[in-house]
Amino acid sequence: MKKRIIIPSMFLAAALVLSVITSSANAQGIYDKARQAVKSVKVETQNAGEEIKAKREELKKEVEAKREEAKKRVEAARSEAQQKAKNRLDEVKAKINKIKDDRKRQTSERLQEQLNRLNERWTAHFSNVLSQLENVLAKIEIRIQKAETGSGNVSDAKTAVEKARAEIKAARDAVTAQAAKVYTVSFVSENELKVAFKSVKEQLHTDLTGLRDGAVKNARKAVQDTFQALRQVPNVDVEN
Amino acid sequence: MRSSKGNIFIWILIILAILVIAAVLWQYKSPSQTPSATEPLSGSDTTAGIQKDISDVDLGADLEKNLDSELDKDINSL
Repeated sequence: MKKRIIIPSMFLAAALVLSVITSSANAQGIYDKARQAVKSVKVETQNAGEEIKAKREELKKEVEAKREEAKKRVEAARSEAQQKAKNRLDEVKAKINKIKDDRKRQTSERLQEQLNRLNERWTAHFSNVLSQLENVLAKIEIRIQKAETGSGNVSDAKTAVEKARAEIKAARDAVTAQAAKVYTVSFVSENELKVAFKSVKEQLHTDLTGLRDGAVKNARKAVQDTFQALRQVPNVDVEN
Repeated sequence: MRSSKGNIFIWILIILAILVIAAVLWQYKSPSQTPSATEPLSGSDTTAGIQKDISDVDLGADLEKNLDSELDKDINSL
């Protein structure tokens, strides 16, 4: 009777011990797999973060380099143009020096210098505006990369970035061309001075407003369009 | 004992004064620094931050006014 109870009990106990061992082994396996998965997600996130950081550094250097390069290009174009126009400028200065009326002579000298100084000031401003737009575009690119890491569809935004880059480059060329212009007054007699300077001022006005409302505005619009494309990406501001 | 406590108090006051001056200087300096003029990619790169950067871009709205004010008086005096 005792044997009848003890033997099945032993089998039952053995089965119980076996099932506990097996299930604990399974649980360990599941736990290990979960741990592995969490670890790989962590590594992926860390890698994405490092990629974004690297991209940010790369873009920062690019923006700085472009800014310096543009500054040098504008300065070189200006100095080359001034060298080329040296004879013309000397002729105008000599002509102004011959004006008998002291007040008119001094005013004319001042105006002749001021016209080119204003061109220099405004082309520097437009160059600065383009640097700001490049800066905005770089930020958009970083945001695109972040959105891409989060599996967002960023193809439209990427296309818009390329267009904006081209528009900024075209505007940079237009600014360099404007910086290379030298404005000189042309007159025969002292009586013509007012009309002559008015005409040069109008030319400067037309050139600068044309540049602002043309190439520079187009560049800003292209950056705004890129920004609009970026905003269409779902959850674009979510940090991964 | 009293003088040592007094010294500590004076040092705390000096440090506080330095912090206040630094904060005031920083406050006055920061608005004039546009992103393009200083550090590239400074500020936020969220859409709100980018929107602000775009709004801050001044193409040269006062160009006409500036040319008139710098040249007209002299031209008209000729």
